[in-house]
Amino acid sequence: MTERRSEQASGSSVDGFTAEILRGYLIGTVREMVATTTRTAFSTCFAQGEDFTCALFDPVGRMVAQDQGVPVHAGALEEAVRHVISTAGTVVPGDVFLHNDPYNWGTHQADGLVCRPIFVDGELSGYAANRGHWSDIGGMAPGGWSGDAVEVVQEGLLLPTIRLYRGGELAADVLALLRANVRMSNQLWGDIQAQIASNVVAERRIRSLVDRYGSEGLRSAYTAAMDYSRRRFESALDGIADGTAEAEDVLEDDARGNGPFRIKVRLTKSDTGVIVDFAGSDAQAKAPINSTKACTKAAVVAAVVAVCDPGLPLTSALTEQIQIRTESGTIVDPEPPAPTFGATADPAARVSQVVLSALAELASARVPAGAYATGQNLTGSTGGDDASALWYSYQSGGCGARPDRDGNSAEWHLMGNSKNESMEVWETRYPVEFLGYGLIPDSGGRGRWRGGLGTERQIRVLEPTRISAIADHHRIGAVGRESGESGLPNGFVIERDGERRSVEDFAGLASPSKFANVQLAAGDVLISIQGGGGGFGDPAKRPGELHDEDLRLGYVTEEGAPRGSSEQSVPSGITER
Amino acid sequence: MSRIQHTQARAVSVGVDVGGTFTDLIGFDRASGRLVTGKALNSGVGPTQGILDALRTADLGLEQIGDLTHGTTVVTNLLIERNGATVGLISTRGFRDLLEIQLSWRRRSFDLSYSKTPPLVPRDRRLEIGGRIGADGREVEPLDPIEVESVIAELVGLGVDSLVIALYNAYANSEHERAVASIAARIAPELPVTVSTDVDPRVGEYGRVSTGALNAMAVPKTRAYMTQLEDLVDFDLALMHSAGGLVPPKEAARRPIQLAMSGPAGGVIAARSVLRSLGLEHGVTMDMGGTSCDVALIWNGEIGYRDELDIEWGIPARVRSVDVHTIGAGGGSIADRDAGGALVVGPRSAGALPGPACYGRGGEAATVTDANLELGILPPQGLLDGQLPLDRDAAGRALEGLGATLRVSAAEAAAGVHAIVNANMAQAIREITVRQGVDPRSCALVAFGGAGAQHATGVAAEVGIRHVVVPAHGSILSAVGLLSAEPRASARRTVLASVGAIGSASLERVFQELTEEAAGRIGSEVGEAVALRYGGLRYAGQSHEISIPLEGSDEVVSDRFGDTHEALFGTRLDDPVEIVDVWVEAVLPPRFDSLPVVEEAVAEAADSGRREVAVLGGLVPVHRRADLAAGVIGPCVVEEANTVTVIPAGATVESRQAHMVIDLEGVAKR
Repeated sequence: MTERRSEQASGSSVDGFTAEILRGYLIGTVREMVATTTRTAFSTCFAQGEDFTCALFDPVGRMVAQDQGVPVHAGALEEAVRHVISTAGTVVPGDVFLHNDPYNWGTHQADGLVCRPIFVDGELSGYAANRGHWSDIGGMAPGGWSGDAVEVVQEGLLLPTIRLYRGGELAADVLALLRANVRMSNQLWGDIQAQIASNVVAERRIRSLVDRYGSEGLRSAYTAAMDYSRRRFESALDGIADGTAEAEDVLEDDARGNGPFRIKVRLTKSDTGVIVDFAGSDAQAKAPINSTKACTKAAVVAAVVAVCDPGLPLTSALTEQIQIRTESGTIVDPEPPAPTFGATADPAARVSQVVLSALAELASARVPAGAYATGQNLTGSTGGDDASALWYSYQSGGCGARPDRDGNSAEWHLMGNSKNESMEVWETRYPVEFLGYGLIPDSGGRGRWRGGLGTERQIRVLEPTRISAIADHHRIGAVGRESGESGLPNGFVIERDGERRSVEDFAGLASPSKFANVQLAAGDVLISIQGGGGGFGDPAKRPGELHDEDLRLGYVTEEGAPRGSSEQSVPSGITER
Repeated sequence: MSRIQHTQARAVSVGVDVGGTFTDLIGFDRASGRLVTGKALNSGVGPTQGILDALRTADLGLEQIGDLTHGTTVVTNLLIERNGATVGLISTRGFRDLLEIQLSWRRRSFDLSYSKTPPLVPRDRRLEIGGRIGADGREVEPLDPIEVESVIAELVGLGVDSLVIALYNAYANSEHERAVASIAARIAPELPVTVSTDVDPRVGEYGRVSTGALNAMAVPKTRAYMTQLEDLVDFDLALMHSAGGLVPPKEAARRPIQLAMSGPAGGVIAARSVLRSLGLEHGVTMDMGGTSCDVALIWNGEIGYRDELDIEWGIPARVRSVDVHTIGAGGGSIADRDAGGALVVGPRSAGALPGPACYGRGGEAATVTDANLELGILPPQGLLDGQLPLDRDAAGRALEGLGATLRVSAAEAAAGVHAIVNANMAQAIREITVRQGVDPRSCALVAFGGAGAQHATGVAAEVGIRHVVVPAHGSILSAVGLLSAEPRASARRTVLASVGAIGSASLERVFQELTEEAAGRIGSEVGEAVALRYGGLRYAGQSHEISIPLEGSDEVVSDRFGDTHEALFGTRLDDPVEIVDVWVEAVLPPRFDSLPVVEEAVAEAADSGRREVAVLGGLVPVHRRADLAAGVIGPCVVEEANTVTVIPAGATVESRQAHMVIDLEGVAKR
């Protein structure tokens, strides 16, 4: 921290320590929102996967507190809330808004924002918001992950700012409309109620704060939260060299044989902050591989925060120092009606990866090699639209080696962070059987530091099942850094009658990773392969004892062959165990 | 355990709690009705030595003791420090990596430098076998005994000294697990074996293998410790488990994972007795020691429980335990300036060594205790019993150093440290109560542990709590809880049935078996112990269960579930109700229905008089706890042997049954 910056919360009437306490209170309130959501949610996605993000906003929609949410939800939550505010007209106590419009700062239609104004003594004092992954929001594919969508309306119900409650009064017709257009509407309604409950808890807590510290205290809390975040970010930026760096990466295909699609970035860091310019990125695709503006921003913010200081509390005061420049109509800022459902998964992961690569030029010692970086989003459904038999799977894989240690195995890439669900529980709910779930030897990119190992999960379907998926990097492995090698690419493989084939081969698809409604027969085994992380540094320089340890533990085998660095490699498909 | 013969010569019942820093002891002499207490600094030689030292400070000889109940951090510490057994795992083919995959869940969303928690068992000691049980409990593929033998032999060859068997879908049918265990017993009879469903019979493969592996890690050392204790004494011994019940040493050695929260449970049990004796229904307990603060909720006179603990990030232990939330806020918690220029307190702690700067044992960092000394909360000459003199100058220097980094004076820094640690505890209280859907302001705050009383009124004010209770024997309350606890253990099984199954012959059979198991675990006969039936219930389609007593017809149980669901979550649904699992809790009566209440003997203060207490705004009276009979009003401080309570202006204090009860209603808001 340099001398020029103020040490205490400025412009407030409470002392510095009290302001600090109130800032902690806001973050604590967000944690209570999270606890409330988990406690009252219906879907496994919410209750076990914690695939939602809570935050607090001031009366004009600046984010003042957020805590350990899902990165892709969190980064552009403020714009979505401001969009709701600007389109809602007059808000009154007890209003509740829904929103998921991917062209107005929604991430994708499945991520539903539930936002509620906070009133204290009749005065608008802020907003509470909860953005979470709804299990189904209608559209052509159960769960939404349709790899062959060509326009946004196919992907699910699109919700511009919707007033679900007006002054505490439920708009029953709106709810009926919503429920009539989705699968498993009980789950959706249960989860929305959980999101509302979290917003109500926030209002209660803010009222207590005002009760004890006055409205002046609340303003101080907001100011302290923003000031702290700004100050800490400025201090963290001091650790990154000023300069400009460029990087690029691709999304492999659009499910129709077109591609690859290039994402290009030019990143400039100076003492006024960070500018990230995506000029030169490809035009939008007619496939769900476009990154919405919300996802692009969330990915940039995540990469910058991860490299600068992972402890940074996310507020608008921080994100205002990161300028993002995109051209409308490109793959990182699409125009309607381009499909966007995949945005939160692979496009977001790609954007964060390309920003990390650029940052590596300016702060090499802080940036890991690439991660498997796909969501491997996969849904299966049996018996038409039978609600009880729709499953949704997303998977962790191998993460990149760090400049000072190996990468984590079976870990989420930067843009995701969810808990694994129990396979045994799945078997009690869906007609599936898991034959195995384990690490893949030799899947981590070789290097002075080895990439984390990827995972392989084998699901046998017990009834005819239609599967749909959106994933990527099934041809290109996670990129290595500083002469580190790339990791094993991701993959989907089908085993029928003892014979294993890539899904592309099996169903005659134009893409190995994006498809809709591929029919499996009872007894078929679906193998989802999450690749390994990239290596860091020259593999020849890996100490012998580390290599021996890897052999002893079976992380690598004697047969493991070099994969080369960041070259396009054909997926090796399956690793026999 | 229920058949204790007390004689005149062996009239003393003892509760002894071996914590991280101190061993606390309380003894009750049935013959004389006298209570004795002891406290010894742990020597580092071993927990049995701590017990002997504490007995010495209480002037008790082993020959006087009729029974001893024991709370211990032995298991907790060996799990956290990972210095237990060399464990080998046998898993179903395809699933040996579960312990390494864990939950795939990063501790901090944006942290790419995060290192995943190392697996409990390294990959070379995790082996697989064929055979498979389906989700419906039917055998899909048989075991191959020859393969099992060779896998066990291989693990033994790798130096494994504790084995865990955790097979996929074993919750639905544990026959394969038991078959493997009997093969192990045959070919490696000395090798301790943990069967996953024996410690965690619930659905959920990762939680079960994690719990099993943790248990296996703890078995050999716990077994050795139990043997050591039993060799030492010739009277009845019982161990407190995480859910606050007592089990015999044999059961503790077999399922040591249930002792993971043995330490904190005792305090909560005792706090419940305190609340009951005062006629208070709802309370929040705050047990603040040297390194951390344990917070728990008591609602309607009942302790809250949880069915899963995190031993480390991503490493769950699915055992029933008192729902205690621990935060890094103790007397030794270190205050520092973080990367954003803010003052943070904890979770780093100076511990007992070097300890706070004012202990004069080489600690230089400013801690909560230093701040409290600087603020005048702690007396400058140290606490009344004089065992631990405090160095105010050293505290001042440490706080000056801290203040310099924040550009404030030592006094301001001290005030900041005190306020922030209070806010951290207040937040912990809000979080545990919101998780239960209750309002903390309707609770009394029960503050204990060495540092609890020093912060109690500040925390209560922050949360909006009106009544604060500082119990008698507050600094050794965990030991008090041991003395009043009851023998209690449960046995559990996953059933996945409709609520309509209540009363069915098959469920009845499960209950009979579980009753037998549970009674066996407390060394009792069926019929002797009270058997309570519970179930984990949910609406069909939900992902989480609520614990509900399964007494009465299925309609009664459904109603009870609906009521509880509504109370917790605000909604009652028409959906069908499912039973996920059931368990039976076998309970024997406690040794004492209530402990005799004895006014604490306090050494005479050199000068009670008055002193400057910064958080109270200046010079205030100093009262001795022993002199509270008439009641006092704030602002003042109340001193006792091991701690001090801060009483703000407007608060009233009375002594009820030797417990100090503070009413904050008259305290002005800030």
